[in-house]
Amino acid sequence: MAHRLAPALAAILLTVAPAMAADAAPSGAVALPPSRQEAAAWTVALELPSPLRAGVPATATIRLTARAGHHVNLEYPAAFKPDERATATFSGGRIPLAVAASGPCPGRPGETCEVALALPFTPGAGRTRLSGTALFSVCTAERCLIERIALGAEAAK
Amino acid sequence: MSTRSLAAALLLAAAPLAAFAAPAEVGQPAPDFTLADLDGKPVRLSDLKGRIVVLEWFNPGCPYVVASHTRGSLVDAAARASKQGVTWLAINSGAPGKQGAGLEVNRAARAEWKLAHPILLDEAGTVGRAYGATNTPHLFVIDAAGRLAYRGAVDNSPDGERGAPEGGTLVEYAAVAVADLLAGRPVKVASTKAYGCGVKYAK
Repeated sequence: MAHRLAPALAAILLTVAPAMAADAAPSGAVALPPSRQEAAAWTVALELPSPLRAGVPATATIRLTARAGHHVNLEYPAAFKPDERATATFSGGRIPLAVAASGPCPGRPGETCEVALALPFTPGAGRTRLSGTALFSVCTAERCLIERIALGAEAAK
Repeated sequence: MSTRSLAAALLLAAAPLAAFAAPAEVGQPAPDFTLADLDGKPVRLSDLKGRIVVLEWFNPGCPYVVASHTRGSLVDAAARASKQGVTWLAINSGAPGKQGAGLEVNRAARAEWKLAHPILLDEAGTVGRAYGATNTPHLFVIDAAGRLAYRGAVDNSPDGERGAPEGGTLVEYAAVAVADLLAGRPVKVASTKAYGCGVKYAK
């Protein structure tokens, strides 16, 4: 019985192993949320500036694009809540995100569909990682969404 | 139809519109209304004269209302006000078919959020327009004499969950207005800009 099962078991292990290896973080590495996420109504991405120096204040950018008839709700206080995986320091536990740049919705010039939100931080020693939850809102004329989306990014070596 | 009777008919037809042409103003009598609650029981504002009344524009499908009732300044707000002798009424001016409108969804929210105060349905939007309610939540505080004493946001944290107070310190505007009235003081901040979803009026 064991002898007959062995090839099947081996096949299963061979199939699963590459997927496990791809998902697993290397020893000592920290698994971060994705730097870009999307849903039907929006896309959001976290971008780190370069170069970064420990102790020198810097500004990351969270790019939010509303789509599918939605616009960015500029009245909502967009924010970023860092989590324990971040190696940078922030001004608090909930960082207000100011609009650094914005663009209108195609065909709807009175509405904003793209914003670049400024996320100030100060890199620590070693490799810089940002990780946390972005809070933002997009709306149509009929409904609003308030989203809390995990984002992470790591500086290139 | 004679010219006189035609004119009379037009005047009667226009009367409700004329009465609600301009939204309620702070310091002026609050527009009276009668609306049914979720159990069909009519509630008339003028029957509550002598009491402080808070009107909360409500839409259980609006994420700001959800945030306010689950994590924000509206958690237990009506119960706390009730203990102070204040009557709290939620009003949903959503038109049938719109987000958060209808008996069932409002009954579900009442149960989930353990709301003991009446939720009144204003599907035609007449009362919402009379008060100039633009958002959910949008709060109106009426003094014991029946005058509008406060209109605006529930607080100064436009995320709905007390996490982003403007100026860094949370101010629960509606609760402060009630406290002012209970203390016999003039309401210091009588008007603020409401935040939240737009009221889903009938077109």
